[in-house]
Amino acid sequence: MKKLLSWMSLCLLVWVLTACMGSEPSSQPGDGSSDGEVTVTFSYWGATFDKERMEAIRAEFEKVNEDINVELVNLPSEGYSQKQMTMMTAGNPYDVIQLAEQSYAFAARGTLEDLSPYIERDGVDLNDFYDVGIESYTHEGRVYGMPLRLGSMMMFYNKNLFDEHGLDYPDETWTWEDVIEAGEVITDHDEGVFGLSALGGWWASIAQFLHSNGGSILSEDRTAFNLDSPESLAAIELMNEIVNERDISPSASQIPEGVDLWTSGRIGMMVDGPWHILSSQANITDFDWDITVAPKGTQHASPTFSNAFHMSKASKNKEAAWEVIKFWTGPEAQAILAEEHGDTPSMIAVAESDTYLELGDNPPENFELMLESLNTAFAPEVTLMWGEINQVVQEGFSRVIDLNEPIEDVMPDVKSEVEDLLEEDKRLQEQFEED
Amino acid sequence: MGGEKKKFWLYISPWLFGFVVFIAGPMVVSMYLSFTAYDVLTPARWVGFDNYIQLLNHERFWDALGNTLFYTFVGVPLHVVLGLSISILLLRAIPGINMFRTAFYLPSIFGGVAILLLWNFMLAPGTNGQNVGLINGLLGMVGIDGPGWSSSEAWAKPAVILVKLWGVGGSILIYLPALASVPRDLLEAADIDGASPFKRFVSVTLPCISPAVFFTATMEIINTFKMFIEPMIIPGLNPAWTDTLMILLYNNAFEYFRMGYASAIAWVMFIFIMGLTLVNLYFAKRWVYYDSK
Repeated sequence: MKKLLSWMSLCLLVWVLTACMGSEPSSQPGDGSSDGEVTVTFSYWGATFDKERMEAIRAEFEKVNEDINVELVNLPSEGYSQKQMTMMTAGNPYDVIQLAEQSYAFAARGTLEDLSPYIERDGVDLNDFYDVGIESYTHEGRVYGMPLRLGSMMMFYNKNLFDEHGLDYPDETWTWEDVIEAGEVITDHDEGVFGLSALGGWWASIAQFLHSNGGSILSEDRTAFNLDSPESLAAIELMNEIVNERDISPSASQIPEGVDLWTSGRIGMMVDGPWHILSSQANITDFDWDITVAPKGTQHASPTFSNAFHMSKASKNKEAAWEVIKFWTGPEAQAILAEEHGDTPSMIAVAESDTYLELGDNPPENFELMLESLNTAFAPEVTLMWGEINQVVQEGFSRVIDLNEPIEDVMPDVKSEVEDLLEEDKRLQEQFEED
Repeated sequence: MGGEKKKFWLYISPWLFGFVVFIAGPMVVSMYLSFTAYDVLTPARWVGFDNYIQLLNHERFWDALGNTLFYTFVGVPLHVVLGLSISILLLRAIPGINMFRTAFYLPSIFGGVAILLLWNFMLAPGTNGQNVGLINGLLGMVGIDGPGWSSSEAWAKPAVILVKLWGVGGSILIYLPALASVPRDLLEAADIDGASPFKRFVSVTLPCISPAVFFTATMEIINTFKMFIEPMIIPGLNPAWTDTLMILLYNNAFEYFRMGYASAIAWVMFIFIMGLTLVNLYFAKRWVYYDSK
């Protein structure tokens, strides 16, 4: 009896183990069913707004493409790249993949399909799109991803705070000097009010400040360190002055835990991304606000955020995947996006249409400046070492701004680390060109 | 006897299978990968000792190693002493003792990111006296001007240790039964000989529970060496103050496409943990007392 029991339990164990190992997940990319239908898996990240938009586009897509099922997979943005890597290594990648700054890293490693032949074959005119949107996903002269939406840094301002002090509202002509002047008046430490939102802390804020003052992290061709050029240094000095000497912009330790300074009316001017439009409409009830382009130093500059839809090289349904990408960046999808009046559609004609620009009575009044800021838009300074260089530069800025360390102490550390990374970058480039 | 043997292998086979496939296999592979440049997406290239040489010349590695050792040598003794102290208090048979035991044990189960975010609020220094977190608020009541915690170089690491001590109740599970099994007659004999309570604790209780102390200390050293989530969620304003080896490993493996380099870090960690554990075992001979001997 005992023997029988032990044998039975062993059999059970073995059965459970094999069941665990042998079970195929139901969402196999490319498990097209027999009647000519194919399923295209499409992975993206995003919150509620994004999910709703993707579902709306899918509904339209499936009306016109009856034999292609689109399976949308919303992945958390934390660990998004790792998930993609894992799926690729397992030989089972998603057919269509939304990527942003990591596009180049994945393309260089040969995991993405070059879309140029498809674009050419179907006569998709890239001139219909904003250059900056296509540029970010063009590597070595080949297009790897098609964007649906983009947006660049804007300056939001709290009208009530400006009225209170009898100041003129900011406009497109404003320079950093003007911002500092108004910021000095608006800042009130006893009330926890700052004239200007926090500077630094992430790539776009750093890039906007540097570029608008004629500086940059890397040289034009992204092979040399440029943070110690006179222009860049002057920009860092100015940032330091705004945050530490004048204290009109909060340093990291002055930002309260769990309080949104902007929506609670404690920020005069905020330089940040366009997603704040939708959240400000939803969350701000007790003051009036508007937008204008980000301030200029020696020039206007607005770093651009976007993401694009890429195709896996290992996809088993490339034609169907291309149909999906084409539709998802085509006029119908762009119209769905335009009606949100948030991020800018990547197609110029749609962005300039009333569908996008007519907000009715909703703020911001100056919404059409979103397009103005795209005239000075530039893509992030992406290299194969983007993640690490970004990290090093951000930490360097944080030491200067938040910890008030002298620039001459911080710069050598940042420089030596970034230069090591650029060398590595060069080595990788050569290696990938050989492959 | 042959039947016995067969049965032994039969019963142990599920575990053995799991160990070989999911632990030993990956270990061997990571050993190999630590001598290669591997970004997961393209084939690994053999680079010999490059990763290890790079590691030793990498300032971030030394920072992370220093922090990790600080957490180990400061955090672990605190953890052991505090756990033991709480356990001694919870040994008494007062009314409602089970409630107290539960209260002290629960935090160790409620862990993870949500709790750490809560700690972020509690440790907030506030600005101009606004939005001050619970900890500095309490310190303020007794006239102490609390530090900026994460924003000060001196307090960023202690803040991480403080947060880690949140889970100290987990060791009660091990200490309580050990304390309860200290022979009564020995304690009474010491009492009759006129030993003070402290003397009794040092000469009788401690030797009797030394295996439990040794066990928790060893496990805690290993866990602390692998600490990741606390400094990840509550980093210092300058991450170099708080980053552990595990964070360095994670960033390289999953953010920077450097799996080979990360594997090298993993093996360096392994050597350290192994070394510490061996030292521990060696000294254990002198102070850990087992009944069976």
